[in-house]
Amino acid sequence: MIDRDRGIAFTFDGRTYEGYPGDTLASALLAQGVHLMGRSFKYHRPRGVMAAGVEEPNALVGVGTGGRFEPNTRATDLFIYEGLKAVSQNRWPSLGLDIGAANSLIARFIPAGFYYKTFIGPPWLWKIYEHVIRQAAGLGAAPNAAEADAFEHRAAFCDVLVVGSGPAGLAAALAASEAGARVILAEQDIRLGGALLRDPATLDGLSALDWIAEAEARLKTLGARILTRTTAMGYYDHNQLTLIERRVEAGQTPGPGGLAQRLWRVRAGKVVIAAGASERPVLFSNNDRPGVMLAQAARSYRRRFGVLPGRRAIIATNNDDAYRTALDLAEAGAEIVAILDSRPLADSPICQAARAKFRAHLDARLVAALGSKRVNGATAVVAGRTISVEGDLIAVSGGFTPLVHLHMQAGGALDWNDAGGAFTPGAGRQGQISAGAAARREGLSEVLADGARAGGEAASALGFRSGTAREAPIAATAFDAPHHTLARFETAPGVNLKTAFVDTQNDVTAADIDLAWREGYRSVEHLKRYTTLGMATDQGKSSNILGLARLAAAEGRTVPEVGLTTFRPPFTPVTLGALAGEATGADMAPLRRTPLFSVHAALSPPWQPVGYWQRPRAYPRPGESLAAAGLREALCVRQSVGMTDISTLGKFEIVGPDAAAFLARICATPVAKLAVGRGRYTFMLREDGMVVDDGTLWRLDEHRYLLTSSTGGADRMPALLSYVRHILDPGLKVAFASVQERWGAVAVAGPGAAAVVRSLGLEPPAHMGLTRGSVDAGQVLVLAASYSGERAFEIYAPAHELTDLWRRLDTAITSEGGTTYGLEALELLRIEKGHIETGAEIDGRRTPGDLDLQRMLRGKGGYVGAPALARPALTDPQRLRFVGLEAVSGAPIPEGAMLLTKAAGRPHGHVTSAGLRLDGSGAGIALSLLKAGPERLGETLIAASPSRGRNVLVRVVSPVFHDPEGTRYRE
Amino acid sequence: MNDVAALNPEVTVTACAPEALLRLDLWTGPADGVLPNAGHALDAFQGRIIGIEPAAWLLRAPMPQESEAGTWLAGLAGDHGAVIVLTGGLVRFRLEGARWRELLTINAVFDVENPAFAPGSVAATILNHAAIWIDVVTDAAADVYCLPSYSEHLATGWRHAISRMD
Repeated sequence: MIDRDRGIAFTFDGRTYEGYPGDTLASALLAQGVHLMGRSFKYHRPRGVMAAGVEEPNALVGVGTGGRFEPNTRATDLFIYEGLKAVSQNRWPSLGLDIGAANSLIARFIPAGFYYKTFIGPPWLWKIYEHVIRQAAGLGAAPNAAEADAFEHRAAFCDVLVVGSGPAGLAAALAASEAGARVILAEQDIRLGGALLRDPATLDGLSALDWIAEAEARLKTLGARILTRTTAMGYYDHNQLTLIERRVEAGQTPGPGGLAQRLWRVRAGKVVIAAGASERPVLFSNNDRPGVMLAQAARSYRRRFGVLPGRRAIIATNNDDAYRTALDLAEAGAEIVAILDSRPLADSPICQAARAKFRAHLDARLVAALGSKRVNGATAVVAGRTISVEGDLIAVSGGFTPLVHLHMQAGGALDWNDAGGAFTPGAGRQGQISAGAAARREGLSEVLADGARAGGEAASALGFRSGTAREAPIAATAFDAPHHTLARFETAPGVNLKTAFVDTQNDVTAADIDLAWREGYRSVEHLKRYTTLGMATDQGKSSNILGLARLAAAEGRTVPEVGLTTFRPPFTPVTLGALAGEATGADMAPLRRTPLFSVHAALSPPWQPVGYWQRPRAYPRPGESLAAAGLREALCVRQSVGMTDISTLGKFEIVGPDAAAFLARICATPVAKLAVGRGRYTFMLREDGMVVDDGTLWRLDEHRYLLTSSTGGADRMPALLSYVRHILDPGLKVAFASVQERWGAVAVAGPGAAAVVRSLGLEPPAHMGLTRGSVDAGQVLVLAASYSGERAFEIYAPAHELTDLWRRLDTAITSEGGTTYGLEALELLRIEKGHIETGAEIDGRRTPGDLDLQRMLRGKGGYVGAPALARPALTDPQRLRFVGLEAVSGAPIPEGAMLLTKAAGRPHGHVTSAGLRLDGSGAGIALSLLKAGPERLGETLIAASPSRGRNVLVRVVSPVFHDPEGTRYRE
Repeated sequence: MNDVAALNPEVTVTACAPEALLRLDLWTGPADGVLPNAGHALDAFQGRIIGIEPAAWLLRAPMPQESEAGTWLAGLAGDHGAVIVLTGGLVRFRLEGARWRELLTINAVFDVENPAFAPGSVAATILNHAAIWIDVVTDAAADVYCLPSYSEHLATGWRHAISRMD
């Protein structure tokens, strides 16, 4: 499975090597005789590769450069490409000579959890501790250059999702596809096949590779979607899973589109989990040395990658499968020095075949690996007698752990198999089906049959039936039988527990587990956090069961009684880029554009985010500050005329014979007597009596109304309107629609506003009147409403015609000596006039009475929220109520400041909106909510803003600072 | 926005010119045989009529025929419904080519690749944070309607997605 016709050059720690297409970094390095690939997290012990897949805990490298650099990449899960640059981690100055190895000399002082007992005092020393700890902590270095590549999210749907393309997965996918189901097959490897890539077999008379190719072609013909280099990352509710597809290898430059990874959100009718099982290591002294490897991994390197990981192999096992490794390695020319089988009996055909060729011992367990940067032998106990053997490879097999992660994320239950020493999938809450080795099936024939059954069952559960039931392929392999595992977790006599590593990635030893138990950390949750067992990037795939077994033994309980910690996504580490997808930088959130966005943008205003909208804050002239621009624009409106884009306001058209009755439910103000061509201010309540929004209501004709709301209300109000229409009064003959974006709108305000409207050929309506007309053949609606305290008109035009209208108005405004104005000026104007605002004074907790709107309430009630207003608590005069404030000294009042009667006293209220007098004095004024506010006019308070370091004396006054009689509306 | 159109021959995206849009609501049941059911669309008035809710439809017609379209809908409504003009309130994109469905899976939540989502089918869904309607016009073409404020955002997303397609 390696293409040796074409070499691939890559570098590791700056040195150039050659590999071949199909090689992983691990296999390519092993082929070059490189066995030292990393240094351990805490003790900086030399480490080599232990596995051949994603469960690898030791051979972690950083790969790529600049914005493509990815740390903590498993060398076993990285397929080499031309120009690959990989570096080892956690060592200085080099992998071979690492100063950090000195930590091994003080290992007895830094066991698991040592930092809970050290670095406690004195506090001033923390400045030094922290710097050193930060430098020492972590594996790998995070890149600090911007991400260079693109990531994408896609949705996919299927009837049956099959995770894993080993024999069970392929059989399941074929069975489901043949039955007519839409199938997605996800495989994390670069090619399909799983265990078939490691162990020779014939299926239906074909070699394994030919059968895989035929299966793939058949699946494609049946319409299945096959995703390789795609890992099932998480399993969520309602059979939704996320898959991460690598479009290129870590650090590799993507193709022309720049796509590095794709996150798939898959919704499946049924899920078949054929993710396989993970082989377990064995506990003995120095079991972390380079050259100690899982037995199946050794077989993979030989069969799939054409690499012998050692010439003189020692096999240590508690099951039959490792005997296969012995036979395989011997076939490739390795010497099998010894087979150490911990079981008292092993007489299956494969064991007999191996014993006929090699020295095999029963009741035999490893005590220690010998060697430092590479094993050179081992000691073992055989039937109570210690032996020594020489060798450069120790292939271990401590049994198999079905990969139940996805099953558990989906809310599954587990059963315990005592002989196998493994949890197996039990009942699945979402109907997920585990198959093959993931369900602890062993032997190729049984695995294939189980996969076919699972696929057929999944399809059948969804109502699919195939005319010809897909039979499992007929397998022929040298040894097609269960593994006969006899789990045995206790260590052999003489093992140094301080160098018997349970979790090699986090340097957690058997002694650490025992220490944690002695110190009282006896819950599996406490054991995990105290020792960090299973908390590294491999998430304990090869270590959790060993740790649990040791805890159970200390407790005198069984492993299932001790329990497990929670399985959480992701199954393997995922880059933040994949999670973010396109939502980065300028695309972090949608930008909603008003029809006039490009017109505003041409003036480069400072923008104010309003939800997803962007609205100009002001239009500063060269050298003008934002505050000065806002003040200038506001003064221009007061003295002359201004115009502003108000297109974002919510707008709803309500039509029908029962439109008035419908609006009487929605609006808390009178509706019935509103004449055609007239409008009024209104506000809307929630069912609990709180004001939810305000706006204006206009009667366009007998049975047709226009209701406006705040910008935020455009998204909130449809729910209220639908609630009334479909729940409260479903029999009403009324229709409504949001016309927020059908109409763009411009507000023209100021003493010169009427003249501007006339200049367009329109007759300005009286205050709170409306008129229809046309400007340059485009229809417009003119509503005489004011938010500024001046005579004002809101001119509505179809959104696609608004730009032309704006340009006409701009010309007219300029000729009147006016200006465009933004949100800064709008705020100054409405604050001085005492107009409340949704989001400031209307904060979701204010009744109409709180906001001094009680006189506008419709006496007959009948509107949403009316019954709630009768609650005594809502009429308590001590509630926070709307009032104005003026600074005693004229200084600006901090917005958000607390209102106190004395320094460090309890707040009596807060400033909701802060502004300035626009009469030339620039004195500070504000709107606020104050307990019993209207009864406290004239009182002096402190507006305290600790975050700004300012306290301002203020006087409680009426909130209407400008034109309290409202005469300027009617000029 | 029209520069989205020609990035990939297998899928093109074209922003259509403003058109007349009118909404019809009926409060006593649909006119038999004239209007499509919710989730379906028919050709009508040199445009399209789309069932957007069980008792609500959206009519798209050429701009010069807005008044005539309104009259036709008002006739259907009679005393049992109402017409609201929405012209300018939606933007229509035409997606054409063999891979239009694939394009609509990106940043999406809807099974647009399902064979049952055939010509004449309509779906209201979310795409890249924006509420849209998808109207399958033919096997090789679909219309996507969105609020104008989101149109540039969607067009940019499509531009990026098409540039990434193999």
